[in-house]
Amino acid sequence: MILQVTLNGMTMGLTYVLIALGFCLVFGIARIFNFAHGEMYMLGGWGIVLLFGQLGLNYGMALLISALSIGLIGILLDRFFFRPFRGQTIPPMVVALGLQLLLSALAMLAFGEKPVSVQSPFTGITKIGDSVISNERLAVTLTSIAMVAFVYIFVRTTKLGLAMRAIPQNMEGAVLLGVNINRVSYLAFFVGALLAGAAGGLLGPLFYVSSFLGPWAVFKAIIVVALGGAGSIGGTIIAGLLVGFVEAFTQHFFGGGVAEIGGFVLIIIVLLLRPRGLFGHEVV
Amino acid sequence: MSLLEIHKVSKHFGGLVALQNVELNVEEGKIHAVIGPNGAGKSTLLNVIAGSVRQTAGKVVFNGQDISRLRADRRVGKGIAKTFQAGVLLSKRTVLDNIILGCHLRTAEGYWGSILGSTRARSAAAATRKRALQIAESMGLGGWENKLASDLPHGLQRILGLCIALASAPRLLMLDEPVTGMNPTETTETMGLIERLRSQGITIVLVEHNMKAVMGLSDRITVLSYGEKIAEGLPDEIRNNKCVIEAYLGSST
Amino acid sequence: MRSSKVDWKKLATYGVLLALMLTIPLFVKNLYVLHILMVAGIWIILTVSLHLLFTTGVLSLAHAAFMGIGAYCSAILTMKLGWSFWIALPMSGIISAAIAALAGSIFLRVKGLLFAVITFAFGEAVRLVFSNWPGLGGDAGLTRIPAPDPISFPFDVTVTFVGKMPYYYLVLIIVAVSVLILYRIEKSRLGMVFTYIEENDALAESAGINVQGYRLLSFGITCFFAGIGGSLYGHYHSYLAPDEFGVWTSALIFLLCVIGGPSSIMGPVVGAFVLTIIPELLRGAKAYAPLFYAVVILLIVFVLPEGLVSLPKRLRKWAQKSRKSLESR
Repeated sequence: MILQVTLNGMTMGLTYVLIALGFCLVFGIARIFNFAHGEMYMLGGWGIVLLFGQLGLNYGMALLISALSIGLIGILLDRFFFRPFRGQTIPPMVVALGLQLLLSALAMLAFGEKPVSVQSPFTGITKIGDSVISNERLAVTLTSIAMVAFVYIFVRTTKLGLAMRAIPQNMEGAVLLGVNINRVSYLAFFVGALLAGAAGGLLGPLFYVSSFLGPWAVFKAIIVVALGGAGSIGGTIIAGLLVGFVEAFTQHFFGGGVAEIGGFVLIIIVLLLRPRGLFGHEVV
Repeated sequence: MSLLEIHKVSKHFGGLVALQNVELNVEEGKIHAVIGPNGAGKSTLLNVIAGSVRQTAGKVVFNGQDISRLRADRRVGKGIAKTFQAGVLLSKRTVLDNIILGCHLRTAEGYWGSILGSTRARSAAAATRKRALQIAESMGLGGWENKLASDLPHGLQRILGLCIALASAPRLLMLDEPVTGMNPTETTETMGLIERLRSQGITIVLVEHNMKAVMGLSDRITVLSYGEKIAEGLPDEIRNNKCVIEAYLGSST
Repeated sequence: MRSSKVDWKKLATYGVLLALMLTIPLFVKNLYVLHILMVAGIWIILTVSLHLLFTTGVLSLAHAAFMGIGAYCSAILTMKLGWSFWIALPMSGIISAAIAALAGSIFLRVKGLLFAVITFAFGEAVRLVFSNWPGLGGDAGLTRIPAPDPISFPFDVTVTFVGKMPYYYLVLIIVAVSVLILYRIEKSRLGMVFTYIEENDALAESAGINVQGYRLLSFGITCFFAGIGGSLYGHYHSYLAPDEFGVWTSALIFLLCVIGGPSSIMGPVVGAFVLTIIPELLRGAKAYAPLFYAVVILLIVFVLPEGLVSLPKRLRKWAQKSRKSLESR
């Protein structure tokens, strides 16, 4: 039983990590509170509906194309909407709010307001010990692990990854060392949007796709980032998994309403004791 | 009389030891310099005295009172002021507005009166403006009052920082590298200003790399190296002190 | 720069505006218009108070939560404890401010955008409390919140809160008084100290300013008014639900506050007003309304970096430029 709940928690936790990483990167590197980040997740779902559901492409291919396209959209958003306000605090937030409204409005007009379900590409179940996991969930979990691991390794071993970790901690220092903020910012937006879009495409078949998922997604991302510590990639990963597990456990043992609060009480307690988050940097 | 006493002060930043068991006595009315090669901990020491950095161990005693646990802004009220190394100003505001900031603790304009727009508050604000203007003129910034701080040449920006610190009417003034980056003319002028401050009764702690300024101004010099005090005494004693010379030669320039 | 002289022109403009607002019910008979004005008025209390917080450099995305605290407090005080609205109103502000001071003493140790992230989480936590605390009506919220008690004036005149008119004047007066107080604070030496902290808190501390203390003070004042706005909101609509005070409402208040123009008190007023009116005007567009709304917001950010208030100035400059280019031909 415990294993079952753990597996569920892991799946959702990994999803939260995928969405939150994008918010964390953009927040730490471009110093932008990107309200519109959740729309990347939302578009990811529609991408799968179009490419896999309607055009009939192979699921893996559809996911890849969808995620890459959304990553590209991320870069475009940075280049044309956020870059003009580089260095400012409040205007990018207004732009982000405007973009959130714009993207969800466009999605509503293009795809309609009704939620759509997607045929699951993986059928059947797998048994692990006493527990049972649907192959769909298994695929989602394994793919998520792969992506998160890839990002983590990239960020720890490559030069660009180092820049991505350095900028949130000390932007002036990074600039002095010759880091090109614009380029790293594009990368942050690309990776962030790609991961969120992939998450949307992965979760679509598990639940449903709708034009209104954006606010939920960015909301989860912000909570995870607040818990893990803004700007810390490792922190985001751990926090996302933590939130997933806590939600799954409280859901299982206490049921619906309390589950929502259970996770939250934990987060608020952590923030009260350590406002900068578990692994956060900036403090007065 | 010792105005400022530092007893066995240490400061650790994680694994880095910035200050180790530093002892310092600053006599009232004197100019006491703190020198040392880069990384010696001079700025950290000033920050500990000012309260913006909390010491890991040791005591800071000012005017006979233990202020070790006192919040930084309250130390200003006790009479301790510190300048910053560079460019810490309200850059988008005028010189006068910057000095008015420094007058914060000495103005008679109360918040309630100011919110209600009372005449008393308004005349107090005018009095503060006048005082700020006087400070500017006495320090050589007369004529610059309405210029933006960021428009000032580097040397005058440092003077402005000095004005802001003076505006709180301190008994102890700590100067963090006041003449670094100035040309010889500016340096001499600023040295004159600092001497004038001493003659007005203000005790001065001076951190500076410019040896000419240090030797010319100080009544007493303390030398730090790698966070520890390695020498202390009159300028002539320090000039010929072997340990001091070694510390400076040994460090990379 | 604070001028020590009274700006008579400005005062006259505001006086005329106030007179206009006072007499509107006399010649506008459409009650819906009054309703919209009241809704905008309540948003104005929220945006102007949030603006004060911004002058300190503190970015809060939990403003709707404090509005909610005020709203629920006022409802509980009047419904469960039988207090008069006239006492519940200021009490809601005080309770809101007290909670803000408590939360702020911990959370304000974190600066800038990071504080915004934390307030987002806090805002949701407060909403969850509204949803789940026993006696608050759960997700459905509270209904039948009582109207303010009738006020008796001399000469046998009594005002009872039935129909839109009395509410209109109530909201108008409270909005006017709140905006006046917040305006005076921003223009005062206290407001000046707030701006010092925003511009350079290290320098402010070196001048003897207790930076944390003032941040806390501004947070408390700001949330006091949020509570007042919430109380008004609850008693006017006579109905409250947790979802109305969630993080997206806070984001909306934030948007309304800054879109008008970040640098003056008219900014939040204009922002709240215009962005409450626009959705009403867009009702005709039906499915396209959200799209137009989004486009308007983005246009304002890109075309009017100094906010909506700069529109007349901009138009004048643009008119001058096109006149000059015509003359030079």
